[in-house]
Amino acid sequence: MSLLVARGLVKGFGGVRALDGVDLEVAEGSISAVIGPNGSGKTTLLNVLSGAYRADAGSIMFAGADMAGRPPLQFARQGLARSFQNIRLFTRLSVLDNARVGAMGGHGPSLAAVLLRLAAHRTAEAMATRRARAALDQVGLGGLADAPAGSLPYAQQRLLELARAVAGRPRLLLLDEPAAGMNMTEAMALMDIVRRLRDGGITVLLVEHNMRLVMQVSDHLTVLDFGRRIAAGGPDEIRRDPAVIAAYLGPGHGEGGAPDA
Amino acid sequence: MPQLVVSGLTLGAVYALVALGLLLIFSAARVVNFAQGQLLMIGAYLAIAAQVRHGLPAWAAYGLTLAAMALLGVVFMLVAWRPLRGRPTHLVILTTIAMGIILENLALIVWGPLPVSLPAPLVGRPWRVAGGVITMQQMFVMGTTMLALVALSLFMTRSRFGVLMRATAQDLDMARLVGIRVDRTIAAAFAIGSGLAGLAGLLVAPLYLAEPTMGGSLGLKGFVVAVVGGFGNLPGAVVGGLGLGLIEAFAARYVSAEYRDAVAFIIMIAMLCVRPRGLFGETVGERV
Amino acid sequence: MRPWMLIGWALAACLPLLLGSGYAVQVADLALLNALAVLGLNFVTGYAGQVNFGQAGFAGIGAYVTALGALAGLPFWLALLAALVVAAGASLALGLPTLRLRSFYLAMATIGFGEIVHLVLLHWESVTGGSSGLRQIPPIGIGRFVVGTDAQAWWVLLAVLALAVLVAGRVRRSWLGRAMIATADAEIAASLTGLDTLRVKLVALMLAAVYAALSGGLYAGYVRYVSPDQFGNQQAVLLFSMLVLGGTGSIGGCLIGAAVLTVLPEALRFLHAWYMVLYGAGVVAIVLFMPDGVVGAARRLGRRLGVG
Repeated sequence: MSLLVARGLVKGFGGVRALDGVDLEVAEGSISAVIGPNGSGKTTLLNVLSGAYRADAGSIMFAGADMAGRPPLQFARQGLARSFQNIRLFTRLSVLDNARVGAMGGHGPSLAAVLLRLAAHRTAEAMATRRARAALDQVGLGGLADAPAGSLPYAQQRLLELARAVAGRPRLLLLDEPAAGMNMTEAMALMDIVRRLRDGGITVLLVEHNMRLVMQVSDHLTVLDFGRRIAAGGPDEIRRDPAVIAAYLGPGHGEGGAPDA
Repeated sequence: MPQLVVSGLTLGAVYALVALGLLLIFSAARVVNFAQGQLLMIGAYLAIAAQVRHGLPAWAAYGLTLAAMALLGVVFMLVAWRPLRGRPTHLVILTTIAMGIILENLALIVWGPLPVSLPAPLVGRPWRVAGGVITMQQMFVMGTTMLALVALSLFMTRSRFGVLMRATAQDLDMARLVGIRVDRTIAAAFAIGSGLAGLAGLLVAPLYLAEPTMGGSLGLKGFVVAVVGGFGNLPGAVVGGLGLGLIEAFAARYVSAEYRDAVAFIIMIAMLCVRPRGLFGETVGERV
Repeated sequence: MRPWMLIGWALAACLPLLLGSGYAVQVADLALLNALAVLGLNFVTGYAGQVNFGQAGFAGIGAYVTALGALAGLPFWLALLAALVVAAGASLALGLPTLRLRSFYLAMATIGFGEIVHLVLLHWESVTGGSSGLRQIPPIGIGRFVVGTDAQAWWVLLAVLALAVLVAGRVRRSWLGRAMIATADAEIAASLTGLDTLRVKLVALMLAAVYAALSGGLYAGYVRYVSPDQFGNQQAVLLFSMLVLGGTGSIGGCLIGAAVLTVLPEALRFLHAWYMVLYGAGVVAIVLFMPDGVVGAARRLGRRLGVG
């Protein structure tokens, strides 16, 4: 069963087509990945899939609903959560409160309930706190609940973004380069967490630069180059795909690594 | 009726000059200068001081005023831009407002609360056109505004400096990386922007009297015009300024003289609701 | 409530006994009224990060609706309640279209709103009395109790302020307060948690407007005279300065900022126009050197002393 099906996504900026008819499927319960050289459109794809950008053309079916053209808010309410490549925490809030914002989402009680501390307020707060703490424990930030989010070191800020997303109990989790700026040990630990989240029932779609990580953790990969899908399949298939090798190493398999678009 | 058109266009030209100065500063520094009206007021007083008190000929008084205003613009840049980069917008806005308060009260202390006037620089018989009368000064105001628009447009598109300015506004760090002397570029923008306010001030002083509180309303009208014309669009500001002047003149006559100032704000809020990029503004994609 | 806070409120309650002259108590009363309006501003600007220069306009709406209601024979509290409702309505009318706008556009829209309110108060003479304002407004009171002295006003206003602080604290510690700060810090991330950020901003603006109207309405009943100039853009800027001086986003800071900038102009009256120059320069200095206000500076100082 596919949780997310996108067809023919197009997104242009000025004269440049960052996405040029991309198809993507994410099977429920899987860890999927989008890979590709720099500038291939990966982050744009995540932005379109989470409603942060509106696609110029194409369809997005998510959890049985047609989501194309809807605002981010509705993607979230349909069960989608995400992290950002350039971290976007609520820096003035504590670690716990960041996760609580994620846990409460759009389900906060009314102003009257808040001011009068009605039962609705108390149960909602208790629920948010419980889910937030659980999410912090899942990523290993349980001990830092009261620290200001802005004071965390970089790697832990990434984990907090993950916790905030997880606290809302999403069906689909989009992770935009979650291991960026982490060392190998931290990144491996992160992938363990991602696996455990998948085992706990959250479908994961990640964009990642680090090929070793991606190959280890993903069940399914989609490869982008110049805004187009050039390959899709399991890790072994992708590893042998000539188009992928060419895109990453350049025609002729020379030195020089990933070409910058 | 033709007289309404003349007086509306004259005042509109002043609004346009205020807006042009605002736009120039904004387009380089991304700072909205809420003290632009007070700068105008200072310009008017400086011209009066030079010409009336110290007896300088008009051309010398004007030159001195514009030079002093350019300098004041640099002071603004040093206070309201350099130390405040990356700070929340509300702090920048509050700072420029506070600078306006300082200027207004200094003017009150130095020049007193009573209105004073500046003699018109060009003397001549008023023209009669289509049943209306245009004075030399009104012609001078409108002509100068048009000249300022043309000069500024050429400056921004043709001159190296204008191009540098726009590049700096687009991406400060990138501009610095490619070797643009960012501080100098921004200082120049503030100097020109403040000079434009001073120009508006010395044009306005012979028509209406100068007083310390004259800046508040003119400054706000400048914003309205900038918003309506589309922030960043020079001809839009001039069209918006002239348009607002006309609308106000007619609204004062045919709707209500008391609410003539409200008209501008209603137009602005309506514009912000319907089309925040203004009539002629470009749409700019937001980065995520 | 922590014990030192309780002590603070108790001390505050004794203030009129310590201040000898009636004039000093009057100034103190005005500080309480300003504090109410600044606390409101803190919701929308301090927490939700939305520039609002319309706070004086909302206070003006509150003052005039209260005054007109009370003059028309409504009991004071009912007139005040009506004022809060009208101000809340006005905040929705202003906020719904404009809270989508980015910072300085919003600043201009709210300044425009303040100007329009001011012009209406000034020119709708048959109702508002024009520039001479409304006089002989019935005093603050409920039932048979009527505020008669400046000291009584202090106690009533202090009680209202205490309630306002309590409400502000509850909002801050609830999902709403978190949502407001989240919206200010990273709006796109907030909306991707499922939060309707526009709605959050609207609630913040509505709370701001209600606090402002409460301040304005009580002002009308306390001073018993209202005129348009008390609710102009200068007042809006003053309230904003109070917020920044005290410490944006801090309830205690709002109280400090309001107290300082209410007392200072009275104490420095002999400076005349120089006071305004000093005030402008002071605001610039605060923004440049103490951007998180008195409270932020004190917190940093405390941390340094604690460490060193």
